[in-house]
Amino acid sequence: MTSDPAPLRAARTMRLRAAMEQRGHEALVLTSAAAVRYATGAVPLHGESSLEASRPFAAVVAAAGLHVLGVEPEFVPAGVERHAWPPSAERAASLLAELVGPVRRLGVERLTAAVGGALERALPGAGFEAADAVLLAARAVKGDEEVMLLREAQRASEAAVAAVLPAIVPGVREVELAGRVLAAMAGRGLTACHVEPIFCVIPRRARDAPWTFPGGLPYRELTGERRLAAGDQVMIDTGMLHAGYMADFGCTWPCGGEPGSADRALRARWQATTDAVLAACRPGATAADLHRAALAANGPGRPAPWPRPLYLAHGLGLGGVEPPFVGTDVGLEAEARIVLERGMVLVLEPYAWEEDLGGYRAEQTIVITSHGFERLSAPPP
Amino acid sequence: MTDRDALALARHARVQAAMARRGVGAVLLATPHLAAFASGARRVQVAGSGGALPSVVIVAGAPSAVVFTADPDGAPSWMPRAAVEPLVWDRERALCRLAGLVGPAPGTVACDVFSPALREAIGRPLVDARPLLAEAAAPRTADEIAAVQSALRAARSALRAACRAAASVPALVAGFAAGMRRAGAGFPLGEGLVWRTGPRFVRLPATAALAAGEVVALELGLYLGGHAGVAGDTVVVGGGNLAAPRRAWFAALCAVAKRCRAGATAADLRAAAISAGARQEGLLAHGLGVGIEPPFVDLAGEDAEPLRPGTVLVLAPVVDRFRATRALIVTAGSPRWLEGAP
Repeated sequence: MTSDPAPLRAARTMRLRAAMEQRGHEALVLTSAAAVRYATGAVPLHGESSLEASRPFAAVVAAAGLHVLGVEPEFVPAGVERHAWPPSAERAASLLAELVGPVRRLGVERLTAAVGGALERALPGAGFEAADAVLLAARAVKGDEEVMLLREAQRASEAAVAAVLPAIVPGVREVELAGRVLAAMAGRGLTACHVEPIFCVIPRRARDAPWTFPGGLPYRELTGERRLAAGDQVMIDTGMLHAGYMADFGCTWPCGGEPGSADRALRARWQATTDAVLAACRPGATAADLHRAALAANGPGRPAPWPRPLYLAHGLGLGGVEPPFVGTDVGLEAEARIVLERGMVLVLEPYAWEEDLGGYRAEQTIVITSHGFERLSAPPP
Repeated sequence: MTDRDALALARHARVQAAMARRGVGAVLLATPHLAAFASGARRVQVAGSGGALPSVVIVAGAPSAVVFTADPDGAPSWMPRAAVEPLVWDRERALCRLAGLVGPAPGTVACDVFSPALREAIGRPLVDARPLLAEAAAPRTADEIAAVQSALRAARSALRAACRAAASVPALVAGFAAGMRRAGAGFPLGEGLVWRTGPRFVRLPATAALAAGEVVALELGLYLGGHAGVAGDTVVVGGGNLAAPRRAWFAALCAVAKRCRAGATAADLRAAAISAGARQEGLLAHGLGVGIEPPFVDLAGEDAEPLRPGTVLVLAPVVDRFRATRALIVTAGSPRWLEGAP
């Protein structure tokens, strides 16, 4: 049997049910690997969306119990009822409807149009809503065991990236470094990644950037065939799955390993922004407080110190990038309603960039504690 | 224009043609691999964003899709800059923008995901976009087939490297990743499938150790130049002879392949596999291109869609305790193998 430990599962299911009750959802139909695992402890195969489409799975959280569809028996814990994935969309919807039961409000994650449409026909009295809000309410706050797993995932990722840093030398292609880090991760038991590993040379001048949205800082994050040259600022961003929990590691490393004066200046600016945001991180603070702290540290008249349309910070857990987000286009007013609580895990990832100097981006993962925060990641190398 | 961009342009033309045939005025796509297939853009969706909200919109007759992305440099070079918009995180604003793009389009609106909120925002019923996209997947150009073939070759080569390292599941995956690096592939399709073979295949957890002499089936995949390659085989840990079961598997493979021609149905493939002694362990066959694609042929399935010429099919029959994959392309006559004989 390969599934999550019973106490961890029980605590997560309890939080999820509490969030459902608070929002009036009588049942949930979940389809992401992270949400299925969170709700039931079952472990679906982790892969990109086309792999998932070829091997569909789902979980149903109903008043009467927990159900998993399409996951092998060895990966479904006791107490969770297992079902094969039916051989057509109509049959899958029919089974989901049967498991959900007669409900008035149902939360659903992403369903294919065929399955979703058939489910809607099978449950004519049900109101369908996105399950995101319930999942966020439950998942945003981590228990101690979850924080421990996140810390382990982070340590393993940091060690794997450290093993790759000496290979960042002139002549190596960016994409080779991605393969190298995946091998290093697997060597440490981490075999599933949530995003294509990023090893990208940061543009030193605006004209070197392939394309930048108006108001944004020049930036790249698509690993390519580019060969590295001495002194290139290589932005690294990668994360792997450990016991269901994701690490998120980011740093910038000079090709050849010797930082120049521009690299040091940019890192100092990144550190100042990060420190200012960290100083605002405590229970009761809002996402808007973190957003404003970063802008203030960056100084007036400069673009926001993170890539547009990404974010200054995001949550981390069973998903590598999950809410809450800080610094997106939802704006300060909406961010003022996102209140930090003990147990929330955040990844801060400011970006410092200056014409002719280039850029520096790194990530700092923290957990909010009773009085402030605690670091889950080491300082960037 | 790069090769990759040219292939994306050919796909865009096929999507537009399928839309015209079906009277579809606009297509909305939220699933990452379908969005990449139809738009040609890399990483149109950031992990954690979007959910069931589309990140790609294709209007009938438009020269390109409109994409919402955090990585504008991932858009193909032929895509007008005005068609590349920043990713929108504000849900209401995103729905409003999507409705604005789709509003003037005549005909029906197709979407790949179920989204009552989107349906309400655009004020029109949504039909399923997946059959349209499956139709647009074939016929492929010679360059597209060559791209898939390169990805298959890279996956097979990386799989051989993985088999040499078969002491544990993590060691297999590490061996595969090392092979990916040599091939220039940067992203795996998934965490890798490793089964302990037997009367029933049992998927092994990511941390499992393997014992010498144990017979395991494995399948791993990768992306190379925007196209997917997969490779599967059955091996004895530490080395061993599987010639006899491999011959039985090969006979079943050939029996199924013989039926793979335009107009044949999944039911025909299932019948051929069952007559050749194949049993149910995952999919008997699936399409391949910009990811794993339909048709998904399951021995227990009920679908009877006819095969289209130009479809790349990966066959994976299981006979006795042996499973391996080989890819071919469906034509009007005999299929053409895209990989060498076992």
